[in-house]
Parts: sequence; C-alpha cells; structure tokens
Amino acid sequence: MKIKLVETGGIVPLNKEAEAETEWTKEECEHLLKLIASNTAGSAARDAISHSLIVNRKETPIDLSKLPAKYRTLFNQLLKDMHYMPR
Amino acid sequence: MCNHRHSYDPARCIIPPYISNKLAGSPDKKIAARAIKNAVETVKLRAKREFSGGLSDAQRALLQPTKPKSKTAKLNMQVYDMLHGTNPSAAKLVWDNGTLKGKSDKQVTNVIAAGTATWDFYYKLFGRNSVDNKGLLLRHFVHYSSKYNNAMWDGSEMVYGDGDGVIFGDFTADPDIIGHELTHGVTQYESNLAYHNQSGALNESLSDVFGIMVKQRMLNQDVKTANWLIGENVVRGSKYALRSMKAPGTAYVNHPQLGTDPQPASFDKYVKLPDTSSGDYGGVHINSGITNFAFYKAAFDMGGFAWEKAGRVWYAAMTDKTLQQEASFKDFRDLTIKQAGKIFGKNSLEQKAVTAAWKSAKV
Ligand SMILES: [Zn+2]
Repeated sequence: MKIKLVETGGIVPLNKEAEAETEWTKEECEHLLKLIASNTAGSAARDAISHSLIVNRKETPIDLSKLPAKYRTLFNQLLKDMHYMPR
Repeated sequence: MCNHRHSYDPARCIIPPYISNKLAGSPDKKIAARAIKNAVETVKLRAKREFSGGLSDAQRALLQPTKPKSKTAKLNMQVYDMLHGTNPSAAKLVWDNGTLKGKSDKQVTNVIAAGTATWDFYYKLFGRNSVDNKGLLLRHFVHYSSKYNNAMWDGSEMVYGDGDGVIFGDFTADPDIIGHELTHGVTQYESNLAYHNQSGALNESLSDVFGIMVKQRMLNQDVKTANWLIGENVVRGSKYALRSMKAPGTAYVNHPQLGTDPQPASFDKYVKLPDTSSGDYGGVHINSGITNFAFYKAAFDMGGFAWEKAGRVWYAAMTDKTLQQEASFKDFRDLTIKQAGKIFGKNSLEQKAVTAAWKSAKV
C-alpha cells in the first residue's frame, strides 16, 4: 500500500511530502489512522506546522506524537526523505 | 556591523549600514565614532522633520503616544530553552523578567531584545500592556525540536526553531518574526480574526504590519530607509527573505528549493486555495501580500516613521470593536479609512493617503 506523508503550514506556507510503499492491510491502515488522527478544529495556534497522511487519495490530518512505537522508524524515514513542493 | 546574516544585535544594528561603512574607513576611531553619533542623530531629526512638516499643532498633538493606562505596568516575560525537545514541560527556564537563570546564547538574547521591544512598542505607543492588555506573561521557547524550520504562536506562547541551517537559519534572527508571533496574540485577544480566507490573510497581515514596525523602531528606520522585508535573516542567502511588504512576490525568486514567492500585491491577483492546511487555509500567508502592500503604501506616502501615522490608523482599526471575526479586506479597508478620519480629520491628507493605498492594492 502506497502512503504519502505531507507536511504543511508554518510561517512560510510551504508544502513538503514523501512517499513509501508499505505492507499494511486495509484494516491495519484504518486502525492506525483512527489512532493518530488529529483534531485541530478551533485551535488558536498560528503559523503551526501540520501533517497529514494520504492513502488512496484520501487525506487524513494526523498527530505524529500519537504514533505507536512500531511505526516510528518508518515515519522518521519519511520525515527525513521529505522534499519541498513549490507552488 | 549589521551584515552578519544570522545574528541580530540591536546595539550594533541600530546604526544604518552606510554609516557603519564610514567607521570602517576612518583612521581615527574617536572622530569616527563621534561622526557616527552625529549622523545617526541627523538621520533621526531629518526623518522627524519630514514626517511632521506641514502638520497643524492639533495634528502634531495627536501624534503624541497614547498615554499608558497604568504607570505601574511593566514587561512580564520569560525565556525557556527547549533543549531541542518538543515537550514544553521539560524546557529549562533561562531568563525570568531580567534575571538570567541559565545559559544564555544568541537565540535567548534575540528574543529578550525583540520581545522587550514588542512589549515596549505596544505599551509606549498605544498604552497596551502585553498581548491581552492585562499584563499577560509572555513566554518564549527557543531551540524547539531539531533543525525545526518554523516559528509559531501556539495560542498562549511563542515557539522558535533553529532552522535546518541549509534553507533556513535561526528563526529568532529577525525581530519582525518575534513581533509577528506576539501580534498573533494581540489579534487573538481583540477581533480574533478567523484563520482562513480573507480574514485569515488579514490576521497574517496584521502580524507582518506590526512585526515590521517593531523592527523598524528598533533600528530607528523611517519608511524610506527601511527595506520592508520580513525574515531577511531567517532565509539563508542574501537575495532571499520570507516576504516583501514593499513588493510582494519578490522575497524569493527562483530559489532552488522554495521556488518563487507566491504573494500577490493586489486584489485582482487574489489566490484562491482550499481552506485546508495544504491550501494554507485559503492562502492566509499568500494573500496577506495584498493588505501588506496597502499598509506599505499608506505608510510610505505619509512619510516619517511607519508607527507614527499609518501604524496608529492600523492599530485603531485592529482594535475597533466593530471588526468582525470573518472580516473581509473591504471591511478592514473601510475601518482604516474611518479611523484615519477620526485621528487626522475627515478629508485630511492622511485619510486620503489611506484611501489611495487601498486603491493601489485594488481593494
Ligand atoms: Zn503568522
């Protein structure tokens, strides 16, 4: 299953992204997305950086601090591989 | 002097660069130092004369700073070192209201200088005591995470990263960035402009407007000597900055990683983007170029120091109780024109300058 991690926001509105091929099943992916989904609605933060995960063209805002330990290596690699997407 | 791109020293940077060059060329340091002092005073006086020339006594009286509401109000501020972590409860207090509690460094001194200057700016000029006007403790967190490319207001505090050292440098290097983040606090406690589409772009623009004035006041720059660049030390490379208020869209051009600054300068070029994080919530940091340009034009055409005329008008509009959370550019334009009339008189040159500035931005 192909996943794309997207980093957006900040005082400069730049978008970064990185992709990876995973062995996740549909169920595992749904379970993970439920666990790490973030809710920033009504947040008073300004210029904040956010992350989202795109799977099968569906984008889910996520909170990386909620990531279970077994996924950290994969996400750290994705963060390392990120490149800017100029507008 | 001020050519060091990745540090900010207000004591050194208050001297304009062309005067610094004079010092470098002088064989007698005493004479050169005196010449510099005189030149700085001359620049100050000339700027003052230019801006107050042609004003009536009544108008000049209006330009005096608003009387602070309380004589006992004082800065309440702390600086914490995140030690490259992301958990604020693990941060180390390094500076507490004038007392050094831990190891200081460039980032700590940068936020002390610009944080103090921002409080002083709002208090001395507008009688405002901190972001909430009730003396709220200002807490700055430096060295957030590792190579973090951002500065932000988290709803109650300021957070600054060190930058990756490749595309971005230290995010405390520009006082306009620190003033920008603190102004998000002011907006939050005033109209709380909704952070999307036009109201979000206004929110962003107000932070740039007051951030740039904090920097210009620290450096004693008038509207003509200022370069109107936001984050010129934050983006690495002498050709680059985060935003240009004077010429939106030119802060970085053909940058190898960032591409070209997408900010428009006029409303006919408004960029329609989705109201999502990847769409910058409808382009709040992009379309702010339009209202930034309107402020620049108004300030430039009125002359002198930006905070003495245009800044007063924008502050009055920002704190106007009729400013709605979902305000449009046109709503804010109308408020500034109304406030310019109230402060300087109906059909005054200042009110005409504000009206013309919005026309230049095609709002
Ligand atoms: Zn901002």
